[in-house]
Formats: sequence, C-alpha cells, structure tokens
Amino acid sequence: MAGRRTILKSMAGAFPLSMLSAASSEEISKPPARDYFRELGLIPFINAAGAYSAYGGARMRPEVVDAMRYAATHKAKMSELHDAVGTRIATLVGSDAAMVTSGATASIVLGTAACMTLDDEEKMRQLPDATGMKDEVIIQKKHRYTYDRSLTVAGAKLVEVESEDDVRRLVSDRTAMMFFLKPTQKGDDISAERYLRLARELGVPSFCDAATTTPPALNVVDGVSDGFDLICYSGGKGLRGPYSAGLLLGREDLIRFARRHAAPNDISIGRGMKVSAEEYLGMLVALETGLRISEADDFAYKHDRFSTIIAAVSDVPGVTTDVFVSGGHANELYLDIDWDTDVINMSRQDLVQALRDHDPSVEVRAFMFSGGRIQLSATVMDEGEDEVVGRIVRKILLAHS
Amino acid sequence: MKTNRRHFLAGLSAVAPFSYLSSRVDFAAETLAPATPDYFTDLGVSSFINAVGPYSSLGGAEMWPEVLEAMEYAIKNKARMTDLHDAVGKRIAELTGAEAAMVSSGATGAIILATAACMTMGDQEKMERIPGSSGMPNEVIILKSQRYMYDRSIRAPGASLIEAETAEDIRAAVSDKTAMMFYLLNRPENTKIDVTEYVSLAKELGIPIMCDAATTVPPVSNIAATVASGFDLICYSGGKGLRGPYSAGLLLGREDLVRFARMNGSPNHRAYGRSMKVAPEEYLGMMVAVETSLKFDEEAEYERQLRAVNAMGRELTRLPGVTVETAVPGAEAREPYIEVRWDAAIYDVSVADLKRALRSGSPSIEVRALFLSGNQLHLTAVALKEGEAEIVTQRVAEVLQSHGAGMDA
Repeated sequence: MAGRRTILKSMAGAFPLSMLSAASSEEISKPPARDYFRELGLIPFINAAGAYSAYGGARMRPEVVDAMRYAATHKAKMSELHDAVGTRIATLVGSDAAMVTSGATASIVLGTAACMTLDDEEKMRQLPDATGMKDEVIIQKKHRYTYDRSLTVAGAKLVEVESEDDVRRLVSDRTAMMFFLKPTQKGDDISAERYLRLARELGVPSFCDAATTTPPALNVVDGVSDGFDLICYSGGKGLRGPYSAGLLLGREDLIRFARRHAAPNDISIGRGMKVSAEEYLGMLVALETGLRISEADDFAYKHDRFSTIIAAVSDVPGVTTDVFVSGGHANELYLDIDWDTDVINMSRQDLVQALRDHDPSVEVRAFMFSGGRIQLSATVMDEGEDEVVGRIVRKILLAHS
Repeated sequence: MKTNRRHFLAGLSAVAPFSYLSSRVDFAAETLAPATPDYFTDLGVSSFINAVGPYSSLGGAEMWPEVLEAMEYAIKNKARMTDLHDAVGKRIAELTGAEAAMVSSGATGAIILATAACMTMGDQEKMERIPGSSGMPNEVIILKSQRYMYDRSIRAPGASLIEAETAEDIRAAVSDKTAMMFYLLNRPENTKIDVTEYVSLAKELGIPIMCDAATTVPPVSNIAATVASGFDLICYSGGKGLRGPYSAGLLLGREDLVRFARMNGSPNHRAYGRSMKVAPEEYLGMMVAVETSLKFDEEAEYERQLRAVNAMGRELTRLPGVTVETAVPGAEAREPYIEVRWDAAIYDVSVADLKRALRSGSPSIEVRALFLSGNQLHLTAVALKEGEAEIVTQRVAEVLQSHGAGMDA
C-alpha cells in the first residue's frame, strides 16, 4: 500500500473519498446518486470541530469503508468473525485478547459487567440486579467525568478515592474493579503506575478508559503496555474507524466474559449493543491502517487543509492565525483564527453562530475564548471543504470589518 | 460471490445490484487500483450456506443495494446527529403511519430504550439513575405464555417482569409501580387474553403498551397494520426482514414516548443507552431499508422462496422414510420453510449429529433445528443464493444416506 500522501494526491478531484466511488467509465454513465440529506431538508454540514459523536464521528479511512463494504457483501458467522478479528487485533496491539464493541462507552459497560460477574452465568443473567455480587467500582475523585455514567449501567456503584490509603481502606470483597481515566483535566491523586501496583497487590481487576488518547494509533500499543487488565478505545474518533465501534483490550479471561455480556448472546445485558460484521472488520482495518500510516502523513494532510483556510483569511485586516499541536495524550493539530475586535466588530459567539447558521453550516470547536478567537480541527475535513470553510470565514469576518 | 448475490434482484439491475460496490474489484486490472483484500479468507473465517434465515448470529439479512448506497453516502457526507435523527425519524413515521419513530441499535436496543422511557418519562434525575429504579415505576406486565429469550432486555434498565394471564390478573397486578405492558406479537397462541382486549385494557388502565414485532416482517404491510392496532410503542428488527443494517432497529409510536426513548439513547453523553450507538450510516440506511421494502414486490419473493423450498422437498421425499411438509409461519415473518422428518429405523442419525455433519462438511451448511429431540429439521430459502438449494438438498441426502441402515459398507 502506498503512503497516505500518495493516495490523497491521486485522489484529488471531485470525490474526496473517491475510493468509495471508483471513477470508471461505468460510474460516469450512472444516474446521479440521491442526495439523501438534501431530500431530508438537512443543510450541508462541514465539521471543523473534530471527531465528536454528536457530529458524526471521524472521517473513516478509505480502507475502512472498503472493508465495511466487503463485510456487508460477504457472509460470516458472528462468533467465528469475533474470534478471528479479536485474535488479530490482540496480536497487533500486544494484548492478551481483544474485542470490538459498539463504542468506548459499551467497552466500559461490558468491562464492568465482566469484572462483576466473572464467569458466573447466573450472575450474568441477574444483572443489573447486583445482589450478592461484587458491585463497587473504585474511581479517583479527580477522574469523575461525563462517561462514568456507563460504569453504573451494569448495576455497579462508584466509590470515590483520593489517596492510596483511601483505596486500601475502601477495597473489600464488594470491589469489582478499579477504574482509571486517561487523560484527566484535573490530574491524578494516584498516578497510573501506583494505582496499577495497588490494584495488583489487592487483587482487583483494573480498567483504563483511554478512549480519547489517539491519534496516533500507536498510542494503543503504548496504552496496552501500561499493564491495565482492561483498556478501552473509541473506534470512530482518533482511530478513524466505524462510528459505532470501539475496542476493549486486555486479559484473556475478562475479555471472554465481556463477550458473553455482549451481542449476539441472548442472556447478556449488552444484547442491545450490537456490532455489525462490517463494524467488526472495519475496526480491525482502521487499526491496521492507523498503525501502518505515519503520524507525519496525517499531520501533512491536516496541515494542507489549514494552509488553504489560512490563505483565504490571512489578508483580512486584524486577523492572525496559528497552527499548533495539542500536547497531552493525543497528538492533534489545531488552527486558531484570532481577530482584533477593534477592527472586526464580532464576538467569538457571533462568529460561531454565523458559521452554524450558514449554508453550508460549519461547526468549530466548542471552546470559550476571550476576545476574538475560534479554533478549528481538520480531522474530519475532506479535501475541498477547507476551501469552503476559508471562504465562509473570510466572508463573515469581512462583513463585520 | 461478489455480484448478483440475490438472483431475484436481477429485475432491478439496470444498475446491477452490487456493481457500484464491486467495481473496484471488477475493474482492478484496468485501473490498477488495489483490489479489496479477501478479508474473511485471510482471517480464516469460513463461508457457509445459510438455510436458516437472517439470524443475528449468522450475520442477519443481506442488505438492499439501496441501503448500501445510502450507507456510503452517510459515511461520505456529514450531519449533526440531532438533525439527522429528527429528519429520519419524521420520514420513517410518515412511511409507517406512526406518530413518531427512531432508529435504535436493533430490536433489543428498542426494547431497552422503550422500557427506560416508560420508567423515566423524561425525568432527568430518573434517567441518570437507571438501572437503579427505586421510586419510579419499574414493573412491566408480560403475559406468561409470552415469556421469551429477549424479555431479558426489559430487565436491563432496571425493570422487573410481572407475569399475568388474564384480564383479572392484569387488573390485580397493575399499580403505580407499573411502567409498561408488554406484548409479543409473534406469539398470540396460548394467550388467555386476545390482543385487542389487551390493548384496550392498557388504554383503560392508562399504562403505556409496547409490542415486540421484531420478526413479523415480511410482509412489510404488517407494519402499518400493527401501528394501527393501538400499541403505544412497537419495535422491529432492522437487519432481518427489512433488510436494513445489521445493528439497527426501529422504535415506532407515541411522540412523547419516542422522545423519551431518544433521551435515554446515544449520542446523549450521560444517557443509560449511550453505549447502544447507532451510526449515521445505520440511521440513514434504516430509513432507506423501509422505503425500499415498501416498494419491493414481496409476492414475487415469496413465490421464489416457496418454489425453492418445494423443490428441496421434492428431492428429499425421493429418499425412503423421509417425509416433508411445507409450512408458512402464522404470526412470524412470512418465510416458507420445509419440515424434513426421517424414519429413525432407516436413518440412524440424530438431528444434532445431522446438523453437525452439515456444518462441518464442505461447503458448510447451517440448518434450523428448533427441537433437538425429534428427527426433524427446517430448511428455508430466505438467504439461499442461486444454486444453493440444490447443494443443501444433496448434502442433507448424503448425510442421511451415510447413516442409512444397510447402506453402510
């Protein structure tokens, strides 16, 4: 497979993801495909915010779409496919075992359920009624976050800790799991290393939510090597896999139990968290492709998108731009567009709203900056969309100059 | 394998059914585009002939080509999920005659979200708390004869099941703890209360009533009929009779309840059902599956299946001691099947062994054996491709004969 740059160069033209619609002579004579979103009255939408679930997740890699199409048109028995893909993913990332879930949240639900019931089938049937089983999850107070909601979906309760002493004091025969969030905005009271050592010492399964720590995909390999018993990743974000897919990686026994809690098993609490064959395979290919493609190639692509936007707005008086790499657990490239509010009479919120109300509608990152600044991500931007975004931003800023 | 997987689709093929999907492969030699790897072969995942039907464990139904096209569109084009969910919900409601509609992560996902909706009724605090369900209606009435595998999902968000048999039972059981009454549409037999009475009782008692109609399509006209019969909520499987995406389903019904169900689902961050994600391609694909199913000539497809199973039956009855009966399920999806029985005195093989032999043979064949005690199996033609019915018949005959008394070497 050629490198990412090469693919994108050869694809330049009308179809950003032309691998989807192979431009043969056959294609050209085909009647124009339906514009479903227009038919539904949806205004065309450009996502300059990033791979958020609410905005449709990531731009899937062409290889992923290809694999999904393959899986949709070839038959496989689910258990065989789950076994084979699980084995392959585990090999790729260096974990004991792996499964594809219906998203990182599902990984958390299924991982928690697995730690609560272990291989006791009666308990599996009994959930979310957790009577008589381990039903407490240890979580650092600083790690409380939006998605800790999914830790309680299987019937567990959260027990907050702020120190190693707290952990020793609060771990009991009711403790199902010790949960760790990576990264956190508030930091850790107990570092990952110490938390893990403690979990091992106390004999409690440890779980790490690393959902948002990609790209690059290589971070998954690093995450696994941290040594948590279970670790989860979002599939449809930094890994650019299917929207409703995620990864659960870790100990062979726990993954086996988690699978029994999931579709297509009928006794499971997670039968509603279905993962299609195309998502299962697509997730594998997303990971394979991500591990093969260099971070530099992905950066170059995003940089090109930003260059186009910068070229469109940089001569607007009062405007400055800045492209930078975010620090922390994921490496992402962002573009800040700043304007002098004395020159351009527009607040941040005014521009965000104007972009949202435009046709096509543009969504930028939801950050509250003081003064005139918006932040953009090119993660989900197709080639060509950069020009549209640049044009719209320029037009709106000039109209308020 | 790659093109024309359903011969009955031939009529649609001004644009060959999967041409747009497989063109990269077909034209690979000319364009030098890299061919799609043969992923399943690479992974050691074996191919098989599906004489069972669109079961989840076997990958569900084959999607309509129109659905695949819509899914690719939704992958290429972005939308805000809320806008997409609103617009598709409205369109599906129009198509089915329901007041409101949503796409779920399968029929089970629909049951879970519907139960959660009836328990919490849009109350933010309660939605945050389930499956903890103290202080809210958390009991679901179910008819004793309709207890089934998937009632497990009703319990997932924290409800408990209350069994009832008669109108009197129900009146006695209903209290302010009752969240929902449940009805399983494909199992009307052996109930002591008929569906009309059950629905009117729910109305009288003011309890939301949900119907699991997951497997009652085709014919797709069943949807409108069921919607009209007065249930507050109805669910369907998307990846089976409707030939939509595998991990998609439909929840149809009352506007308020569908709205509450959506509040309990993805992509709402702290929703109980955040984990039951539905991709935009599944959302749109499901809508197109309903559209396409409504346009499809179901009668012709039914006739095709009937011809295929009858042909299999004719071949198999040539074997001494083998009897075959053609049947069409009453309340289930209208998919004809043959029930094959064999005389145990002539063929010394259990149905479990026969099933195993067919599965491990080449090609691998999956058949339906609901009752592993008797000497009978079911064959359907729903998922059979051209030429596969003959292979199935031949393999069943071979395995039976290899266990035939006096036929061994």
